[in-house]
Amino acid sequence: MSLDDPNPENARALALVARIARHDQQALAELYRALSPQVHAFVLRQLGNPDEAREVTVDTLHEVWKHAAEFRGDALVRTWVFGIARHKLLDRLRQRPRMRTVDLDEVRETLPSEDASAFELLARQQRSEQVAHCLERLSPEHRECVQLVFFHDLPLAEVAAIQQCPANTVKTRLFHARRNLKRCLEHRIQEDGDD
Amino acid sequence: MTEAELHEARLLLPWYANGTLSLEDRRRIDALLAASPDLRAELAWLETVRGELKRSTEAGTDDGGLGELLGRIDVPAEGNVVPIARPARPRWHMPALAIAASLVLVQAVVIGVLVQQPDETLRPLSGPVDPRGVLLQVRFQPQATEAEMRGLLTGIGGELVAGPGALGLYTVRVDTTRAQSARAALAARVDVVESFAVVPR
Repeated sequence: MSLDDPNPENARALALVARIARHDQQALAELYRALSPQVHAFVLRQLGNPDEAREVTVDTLHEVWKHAAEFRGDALVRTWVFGIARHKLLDRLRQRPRMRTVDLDEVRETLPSEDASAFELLARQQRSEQVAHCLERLSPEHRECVQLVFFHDLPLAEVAAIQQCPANTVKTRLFHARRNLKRCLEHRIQEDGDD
Repeated sequence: MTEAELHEARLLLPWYANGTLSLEDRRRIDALLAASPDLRAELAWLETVRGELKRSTEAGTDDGGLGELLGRIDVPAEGNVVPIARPARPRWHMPALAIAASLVLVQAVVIGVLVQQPDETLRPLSGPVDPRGVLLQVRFQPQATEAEMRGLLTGIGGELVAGPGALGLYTVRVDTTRAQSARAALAARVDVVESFAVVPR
């Protein structure tokens, strides 16, 4: 790692992975401390259960321990680890009984406009718990995409690598997720206003 | 400003908001933002969503996750172990190890003699030990006292079956049903345990 390294955070993580490949427990502990809060938050948003989220986080880093020697550095370490977490997460979700999902397209549009005043009104009225509520109602893929971009602040290419799809798919997916989120928030705000 | 340009800018707005766009894309969107009040309003909304999402997402907490992870990992062979927090060994380390090894040898002889005596009172307190139990290789911290080591092994229901080896490793057997909790307990006591690994069967 040098001062000129364009991504010193990844360079440090790469060095830890190289040490983990040599069965260095201290390096594993360091990587766990560096990445587990992000992985935990990512998983928790999808699972909604802190205990399960912790198990998936531990499972994920355990996979890193087992496969560190196979990591070639083609992707960022964070992307690789998030990809593992996503696989673990999907395994968990498959084991759950299928839950009824709400089709957000059926949600009545109370403020159908896409113009500036609609966004300004929404920005003034919405609250964190409403955003959290509406995020829960998105499809898993949409929710994951919103979280990776708005919570983890990941670039487009990294989200595409984690979601294993082309960048254009991610752009379109997030566009639809935003539209659904907006509709849900408008509906929620109106419901709260009626109470 | 064409409709197509505006649509492409809308698609990229989230990455404009999170600050990860390339400089070229950022400049292109800056120009469109300057010309479009709708685009500016949408960006402002996305920024509030981003802020509220960050506020509403619980921060990850460790809650023993690291201990559980370290308790779960298998280290392949004694020679390859790179343990947790290996402190620099003091200069008196080798003589102290030699003395400790001598004491263990003396204890082993004494225990061996006792075991061979036909004394019916000498029985394991918890019944016969399961020969299929899990074997753990443990290296204790150099500064760990005998009382700390004994207390830890008693706490996990461990039986010392061999050691210390040439590299200072002790082999401890624990009942299969207690293996998981034993590993977690060893991982949690970094003040006493320098490293440990499950011995593959």
